[in-house]
Amino acid sequence: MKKSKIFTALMAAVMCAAAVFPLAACYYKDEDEGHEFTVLTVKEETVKDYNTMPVFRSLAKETGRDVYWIYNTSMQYQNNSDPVGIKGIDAIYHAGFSNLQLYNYGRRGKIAALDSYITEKTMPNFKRILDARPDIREALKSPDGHIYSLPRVEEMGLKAYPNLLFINKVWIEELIDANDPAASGIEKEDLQDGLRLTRSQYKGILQGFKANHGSCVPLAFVHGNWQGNESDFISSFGVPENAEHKTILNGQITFTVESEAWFNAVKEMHEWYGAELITSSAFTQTQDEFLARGQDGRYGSFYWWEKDTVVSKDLRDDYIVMQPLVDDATGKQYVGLSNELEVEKSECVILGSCKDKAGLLKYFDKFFEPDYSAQLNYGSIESGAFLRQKVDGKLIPNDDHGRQSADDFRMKNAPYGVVYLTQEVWENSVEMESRAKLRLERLESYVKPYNEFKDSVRSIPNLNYTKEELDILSRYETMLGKNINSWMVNKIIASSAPSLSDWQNNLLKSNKTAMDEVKRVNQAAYERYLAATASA
Amino acid sequence: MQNHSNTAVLTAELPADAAENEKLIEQAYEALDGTEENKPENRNKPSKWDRWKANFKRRGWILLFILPALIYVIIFCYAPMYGILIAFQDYGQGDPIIGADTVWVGFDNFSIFFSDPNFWSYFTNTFLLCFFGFVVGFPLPIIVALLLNSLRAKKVKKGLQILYYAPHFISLVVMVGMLKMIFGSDGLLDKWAGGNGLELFLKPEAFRPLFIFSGNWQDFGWSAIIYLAALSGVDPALHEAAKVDGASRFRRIFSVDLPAIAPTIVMLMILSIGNLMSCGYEKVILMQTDGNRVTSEIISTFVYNFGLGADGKPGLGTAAGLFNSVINVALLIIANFTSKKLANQSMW
Amino acid sequence: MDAKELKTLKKKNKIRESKTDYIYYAVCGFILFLLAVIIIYPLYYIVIASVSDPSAVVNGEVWLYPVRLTFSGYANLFNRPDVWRGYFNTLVYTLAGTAFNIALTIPAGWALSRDYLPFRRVIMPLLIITMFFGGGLVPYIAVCTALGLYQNPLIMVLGGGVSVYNVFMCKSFFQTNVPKEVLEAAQIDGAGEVRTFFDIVLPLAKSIISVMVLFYAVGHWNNYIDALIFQVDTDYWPLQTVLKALLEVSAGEGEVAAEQFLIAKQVQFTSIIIATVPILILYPMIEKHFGQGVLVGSFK
Repeated sequence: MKKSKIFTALMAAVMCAAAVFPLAACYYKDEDEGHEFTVLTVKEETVKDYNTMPVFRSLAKETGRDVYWIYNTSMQYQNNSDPVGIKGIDAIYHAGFSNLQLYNYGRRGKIAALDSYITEKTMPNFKRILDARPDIREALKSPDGHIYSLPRVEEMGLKAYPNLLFINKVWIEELIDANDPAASGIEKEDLQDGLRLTRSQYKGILQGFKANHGSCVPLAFVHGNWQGNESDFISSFGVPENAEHKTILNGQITFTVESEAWFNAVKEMHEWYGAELITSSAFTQTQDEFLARGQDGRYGSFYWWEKDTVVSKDLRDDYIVMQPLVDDATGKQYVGLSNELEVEKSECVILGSCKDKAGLLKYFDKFFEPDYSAQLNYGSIESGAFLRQKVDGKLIPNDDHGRQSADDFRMKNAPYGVVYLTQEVWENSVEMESRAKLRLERLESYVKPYNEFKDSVRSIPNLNYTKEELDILSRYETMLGKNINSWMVNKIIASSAPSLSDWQNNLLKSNKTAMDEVKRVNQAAYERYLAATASA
Repeated sequence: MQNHSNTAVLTAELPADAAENEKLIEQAYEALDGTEENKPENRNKPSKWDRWKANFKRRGWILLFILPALIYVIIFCYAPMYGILIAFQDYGQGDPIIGADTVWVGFDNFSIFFSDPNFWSYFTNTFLLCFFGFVVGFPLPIIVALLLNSLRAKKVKKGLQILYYAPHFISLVVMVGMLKMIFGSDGLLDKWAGGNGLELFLKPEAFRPLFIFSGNWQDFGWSAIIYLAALSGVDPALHEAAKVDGASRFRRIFSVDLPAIAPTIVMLMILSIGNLMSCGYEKVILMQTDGNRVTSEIISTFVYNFGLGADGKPGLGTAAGLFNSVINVALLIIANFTSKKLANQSMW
Repeated sequence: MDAKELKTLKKKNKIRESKTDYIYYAVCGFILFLLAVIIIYPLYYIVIASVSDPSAVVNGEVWLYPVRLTFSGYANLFNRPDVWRGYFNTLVYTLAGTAFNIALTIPAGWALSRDYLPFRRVIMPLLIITMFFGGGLVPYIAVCTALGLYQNPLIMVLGGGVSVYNVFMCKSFFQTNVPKEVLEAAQIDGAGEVRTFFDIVLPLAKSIISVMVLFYAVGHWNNYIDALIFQVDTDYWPLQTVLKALLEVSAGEGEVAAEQFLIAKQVQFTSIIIATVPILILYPMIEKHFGQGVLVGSFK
């Protein structure tokens, strides 16, 4: 009984403690006061504090504005249900709002409309950009006609082509040495960047890889990823495929899945899957897993935008870039264009509660100047991202970061965000990174000239939708892409080949409403876009 | 035969709360107004209200015990419930839920949900996933608890129990990561199978078994705890007496152990049936691939896709969630009614 | 029957018992052993993966024993001050939060188990409804903000204060395990509701309290999301949120991505171990109380 009394006393004590605790513990975080502006940015812990970054210090010095940076990690930011409600901040950098969010927050005055500040006096750089680029102005407009965000523009001409096809030349040499019929017609001299193979030749070689290297992955890619996906394989059948299955073909918004070429591509992939030329991991892995798995050189061939990250250093020279696969039937080469945009709409928003919007915008306007854009995008001159001396008035990237890799350096030192880097800037003010140049070169010499679609296909630009259109898109598009991918993967891995009627009934018919609506809305928005950009 | 004696014990031992209460009241009646025949419609007997008042005066202090929990529930559960109104609105992120310019759309969100070409697929996927989960996952912890409880080596029993409940602490991300490592592409199993392997994560028919198997693997030991606690309260004398009667250990599971935990089983069963249409989205999303979406797209993932995405329609997501809740409540009421009739045990 | 009599009876039955029970214990032992094996391998895997070279783990080389043994995963975690702070915060939240939960749940379960509870017919559905309907995250946060709990670590203690599911579990326990006779005796002694509860009911409730302590404590221990949705300052993050943050691989480009992926992979395994081992010992601590307090043998 004694024991139970102690227990009872304990319980009572606990209950009292629990009752008092809420009253006793009262805690609020005090905000950093005394700065002219406080801006919330979204960055990882590994990225340096913005307040110590030289580029921001020189920005502050030049504009005379006192901006204090606080940050959320992306995990914190994603879980914040009301980012515009954070007290004591004047702007959000790396806001990443969707069209609907921009519209909603803007409509309620939670974020400021910038139109009246886009003047020669307050934002001379931004005004000049919008005047010169009606497409950007059009893209930034919300359904109510206002501009609520500052964009990020980084035009290198790379994002539309997120895939290059690489192949292991050493393994092809093995086939040639063994007089394998798969490699017939291929000379060792051909085995350099720009190798041109028909799809059936390519298939034979992959089969040879499979026979010689049992545990290899003949063709690797990341299904559903924005880069390094299977789109260009499908495109080779003569349909401008991309990860969204949606493109502009001859001025019309089109779903690639409606083309019979697309169906034939899926059928062929089914066959390749059955022959183990494509493995199941292609459809389940993430981009990171894909990169980690490729390091030991088990990929016979793969889609990615470069090879350096996919295979480890000592194996890099084994791989060469290929031209797009040649369609056996027509002898033509096709590549689709992705809808990844080089203009990102909502990189920075000013909150409605900001007391001196003009002052803060004057500061942000500086971000659009080439020298600042470059330093924001790659790291400051002081930290060693660029050489201290300009050459011919151009900033030259510094490739030597000591023991740090280029990516590592950039991750830590570059805040990214609001920048304006276009063809004009690359030509006159900033030298492109060598990696980007290499990639452009590869695209220019091995892909673009051979692409039959180069004149008939374009990426879907940043369109300006009405509120009704946004509603329709969010209703239908959320599930449509998933339905298409689901049908496709199921057919590829199925034991029997997909039939035309299956494609027509289970994919086209059952998603007809959704596809028609999405097409209609996009077509209307695209035509408005054309009109707006042509008139200006 | 065992079953028969079993139910007998069950009904006898059950503290049929409501029934007993009735009986007590009847007794109180009789004590108050004597003969049984006069009881109905007797004008002289105290009215229900009077009795209630007397009860309240005498034992009303008991309310103090429920009050804190009640206040908590009202503040933290009921106060936010106005959020349900979103289901009837064209709601956008940042909108006030009740504002001057709120766009009320009636049942539009519901009709969008019901007219989705895949609505029935989401519905049946949800039901089948939860139903099979229940069929496997409900009895397993009971069996494990009964077996563990019958072990005579106490140290072994305790050691096993700690081992069994350890997987409960593995986070979902890691759990699914390990599943992929074993059953996924490039996983251990696929390596042995060779070629393209079993591609279990791409096969629609493999999704449910994988989901349920891993869920049970993680939680059977944890769920057994409540039964073990209930079993620990069984009077050893009951076992001794049964032994004397010559009942084997196996027989005693049915004659002694099971009846002791029957009320717990019934209550948990009612609650589980009330959850037959609810399945969290977290693990499903982690396990979802384009290959198994045919079976893995369920109502809660629909809610997730529409409710939480920045481009989504929170109204649509909330409507789907509300529909799901209504079905669950209906299931709970049916389960409770059945239990009242069959086992004379009710949740309320 | 007295003990002596029982003993002789037992002896008599011993031979028969052992014969029939032999098969039962064999089967029972076999099943439990099998379950243990199924459980143990993945747990073992986590342990060996946490001390192996992460690239070996990713490539599937690790499955029987650690490959290229390394403790760098643990060293990385334990060298971080935020992990230690996370431990401390979690401990505080778990202790205070569980106390708060118990203080609300046990009395509520007791009250509900009494059929003379006034307004019982109203209270029951009121509680049950909350198991199925909720207003969603945004209004919940709005209410908590009004209470001053936004960006306030106190939410880690007060959030999820009552689990209706657990209340019903307690109610069911009290209905079966508190003998009427004891209560009646207490009433005759003139004990009021409050005294009855503290003097008679609570001492009988040790096993359900210990189960509830376990359930709630584990809930607090594993809670990582509240710290994020309520934007609690990082200094006040519980361990699980700290670990979660370490796992989130920032979508690095190029070479960093693969490297970070490997580090994150290792953190996955080490973090399970460092987050789980402390809470595992809770079970033996509370298991002691199982079966205690229930009035064994009396009133039969």
